[in-house]
Amino acid sequence: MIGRRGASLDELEALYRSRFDVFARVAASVTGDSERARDAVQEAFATAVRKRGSFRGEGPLEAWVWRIVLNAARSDVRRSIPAFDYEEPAAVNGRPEQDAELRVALARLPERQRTAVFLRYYADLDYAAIGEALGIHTGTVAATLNAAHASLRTRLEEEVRT
Amino acid sequence: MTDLDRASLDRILPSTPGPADWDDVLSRSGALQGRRGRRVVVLAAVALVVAVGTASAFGTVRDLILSTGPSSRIAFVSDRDGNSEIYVMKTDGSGQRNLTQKPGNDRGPVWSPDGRKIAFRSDRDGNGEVYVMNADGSGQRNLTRNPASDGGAAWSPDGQEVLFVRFRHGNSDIYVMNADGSGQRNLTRTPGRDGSPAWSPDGRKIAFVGKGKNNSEVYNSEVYVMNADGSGQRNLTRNPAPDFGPFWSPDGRKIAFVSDSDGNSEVYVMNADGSGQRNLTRNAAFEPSPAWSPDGRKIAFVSNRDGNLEVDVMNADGSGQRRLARGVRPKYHRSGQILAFVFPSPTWSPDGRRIAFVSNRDGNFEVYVMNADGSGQRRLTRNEALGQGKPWRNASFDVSPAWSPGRKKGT
Repeated sequence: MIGRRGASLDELEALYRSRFDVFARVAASVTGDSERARDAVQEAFATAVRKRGSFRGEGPLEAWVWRIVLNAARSDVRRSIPAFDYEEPAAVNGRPEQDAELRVALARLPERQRTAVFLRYYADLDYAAIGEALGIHTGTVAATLNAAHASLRTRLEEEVRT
Repeated sequence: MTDLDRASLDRILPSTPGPADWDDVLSRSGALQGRRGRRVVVLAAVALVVAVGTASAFGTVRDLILSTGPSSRIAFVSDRDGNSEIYVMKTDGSGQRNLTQKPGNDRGPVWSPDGRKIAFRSDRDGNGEVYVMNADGSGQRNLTRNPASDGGAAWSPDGQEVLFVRFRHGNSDIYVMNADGSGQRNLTRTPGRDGSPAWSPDGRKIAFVGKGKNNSEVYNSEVYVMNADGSGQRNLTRNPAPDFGPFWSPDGRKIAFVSDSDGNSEVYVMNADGSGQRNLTRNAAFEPSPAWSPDGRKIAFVSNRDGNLEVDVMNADGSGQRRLARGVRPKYHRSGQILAFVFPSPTWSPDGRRIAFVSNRDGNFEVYVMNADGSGQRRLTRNEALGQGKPWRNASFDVSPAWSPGRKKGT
């Protein structure tokens, strides 16, 4: 990995096939719309295919692709709205959604914090990869996640109280 | 953080949007060119459909452009009869009339500077074209007549020319044509997407948004300026985040735009040469659509400080920021997916005394009007319960209000 230049088409395809779901769903948390998230992922991978020669191999390929995917999703956000929020508590098959409070709390996070949460706890990236994906320093990732934790905690407590 | 486990997040995230399709990725990347020509054509058609969304977004800011001329009416888009049509009404909401009455969707009405014509985008012939009609709906004509998808029309200040955006093969360029559709010319000729063209008030320059000029930063966009003949294209923003929505100040000396450079969308203002860029909003909000008041002293914008899209106003230097109206509360499916989304599109009356906007505060998307200080809010359109409980594609929207150019007339 170290000092390598370029990513192969096969590697990109393998990453795409194994992680498409994760990319698309986290992208949807940014775009707020599954179809546009899908389009962003498709476009992002197309970009990755075109630019695969410029992958420097300083971090994992997946982190490099995440950055392209998130940029694609964000470029769509200006035509959309922040992803998470809802009109009424969601229900699945008539049952109240069990994560309603968390959903609301996540909805209120700044996008970067929210995306960091999804990358860490859903996509399972480490801090270095999150930093690469978000274009921020590894130290900033920790601070971002701390801030997210802090406000999630506060908001979840508020939800309980009110 | 008891709940931050993968299973919870998995339940919260929207479901997967369809299967993976690596061939589509390759097609989009150009890696399959030649080998799958036919497929590429099909995908290009799909891309155009996607681009239409872009076109209307690109057109959103354009729809708000106001200039001066006679009479006062508000054009808007409604799909109350099943497909999008362009209506006009008086500014008190009376006399609503469907001008287009055609199958196919007609959107993005833009008044000619003299208020006698309306340019709009229609897909009635199967792909997006820029049409023009007289303000009473007569004389509808396809100006662009092209197999590509065209939209985003913007009249030159003298009404002699029309800018538009042509989407083709995942790319878009800004074109200009004479107001009768003749003399179509590509002004930008770039490999990336260009959109949101805006004439300077003196008609000598055009601000626009360019994406991926050199194909290096495909998902960045910048505000550019060029001469009206397409020469002298210059990137004014030059930062790694999306910059978009250029809107000239009425005196042509400044350009308001939106930048994501601090991670959120904020309203910026810069001098027309790109110098003196200043973030006016500085908060964690999403604020597209800055709109200068006709006297240049205020800027109306949209914020989502509280999760909904609200209409705010500030002085042109960023001071005195104030909420004017409840705008749009996005509609969500129970799964958390967005069902309906419309910008509030605040748009100043030509005399600067009132602002029209879109709100769904009563459940439907309707056009409202208020005084410039937020008082006297009134709903002008009435969709009643048409949209309730239906999937958004069946819901009905009255959106994209555009004041006819007019002088100091109330109604």
